[in-house]
Amino acid sequence: MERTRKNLTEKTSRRRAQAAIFDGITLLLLASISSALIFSFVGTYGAQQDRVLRSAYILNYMQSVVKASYYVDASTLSFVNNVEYGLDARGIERKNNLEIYLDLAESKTGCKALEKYSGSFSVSELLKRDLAENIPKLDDQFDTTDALGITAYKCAVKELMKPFWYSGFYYGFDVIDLDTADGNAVQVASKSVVTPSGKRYESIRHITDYPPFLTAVNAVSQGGVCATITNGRTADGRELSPDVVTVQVPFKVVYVNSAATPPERKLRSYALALCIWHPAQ
Amino acid sequence: MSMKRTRGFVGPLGDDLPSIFPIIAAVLLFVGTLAYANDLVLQKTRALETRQAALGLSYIVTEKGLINNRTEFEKNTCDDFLKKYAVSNRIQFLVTVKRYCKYVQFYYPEENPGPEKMRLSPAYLEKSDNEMQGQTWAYCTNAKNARNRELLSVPEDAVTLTYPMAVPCPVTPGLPTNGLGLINVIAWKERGKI
Repeated sequence: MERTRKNLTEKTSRRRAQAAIFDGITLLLLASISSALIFSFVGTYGAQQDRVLRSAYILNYMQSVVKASYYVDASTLSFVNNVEYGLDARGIERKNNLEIYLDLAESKTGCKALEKYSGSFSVSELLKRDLAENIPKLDDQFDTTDALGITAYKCAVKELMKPFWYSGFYYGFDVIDLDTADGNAVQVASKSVVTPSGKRYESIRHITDYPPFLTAVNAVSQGGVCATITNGRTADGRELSPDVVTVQVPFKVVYVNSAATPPERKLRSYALALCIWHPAQ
Repeated sequence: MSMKRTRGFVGPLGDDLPSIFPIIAAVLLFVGTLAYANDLVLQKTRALETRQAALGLSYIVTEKGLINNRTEFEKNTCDDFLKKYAVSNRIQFLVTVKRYCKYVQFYYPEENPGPEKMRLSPAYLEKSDNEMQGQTWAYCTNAKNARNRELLSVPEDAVTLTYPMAVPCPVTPGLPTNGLGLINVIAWKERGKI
């Protein structure tokens, strides 16, 4: 009887000690789980907000590109070239190739040709002239005279969108005709370029000459480059890009039909669209 | 007899001694995690607020896409809008307008730039009217240490946003010509202020 009671007492003491250490380990386990949850929360805290703020910056940058093109005189863009002048970490000037819209380096038809508009025409004014025809077409012509509108706009965009190009983003732009039912992009005319040696070739005129459009099933469709990159798919069914950021600003053009009697005046509504995207991997 | 009964029993505290260690470890881990997480959340909140305020400032300065009057920018935009916005958001800021006119240099060397290249820095304050690429043409700041400085030293956690802007470029004398420029918006919070 006495032995049984003694055994019971020893067992109770041992169990109490075991229970206490078990409680301690359970508490440690709970604390570890809580810490993991807290770190998980902290890791994602603000990530969405940060993403939104960065998108807002990109959008504001793109809006500023379009706004600046309203005021920048076309002649000042005559220095835009296929080279980016930058500085390396030691402060030494370096040159990087800017391999997009390569035709803009042509001396007679590229940005260099803009120097003839000395001090008077802004990029948007030239673009309006380019569009103020009976059949609007981005062909660098106003009726039969030169109006390097689309070239000037491309030069401005090429220079100001450099940070995105070097960061691995692609960009494109459209002039959307808002008066058409589907909002079609105004066609950019292809121009033949004659090199000094006399060789003639079709110049590279659009972003569609670069990936991912080269692998796209559908060519530039209604809505232009920005609409295509948003909705388009590659041959194997993948999206052209999962992330596209687009800005559109209104752009009014006055067209005067001087052939009519009396001369007919018409206000056409366009939108300038500028979009950037990261190619799908 | 009683000795035999209490064999294996160290005492009310001693019996629980082995469990004290995991309990203390758990409490320390939990309190440490809370303190560290709180610090991280405050840091992130501070960074987000600074970025948001910098965006707010940049919306003001990029409203038109053109800055063609230095006096108007430094008096009206700066004093009436930027400084008041900064006060309400409790931030320090520096806005510099750079003229390029020919082509834009977006990249600036961070280490040992040298005196000429230093002028390309977004925080370079000495104004210049000559046509050298990347000169500061106008600036606005509420930083107390900006007086008589060539280059303002900004904290490492400052947010810098850069935007394209049309600026006057005297390419042809007598003709008002607008060319390419950049506007840099740098914002930061004073240490200890959240």
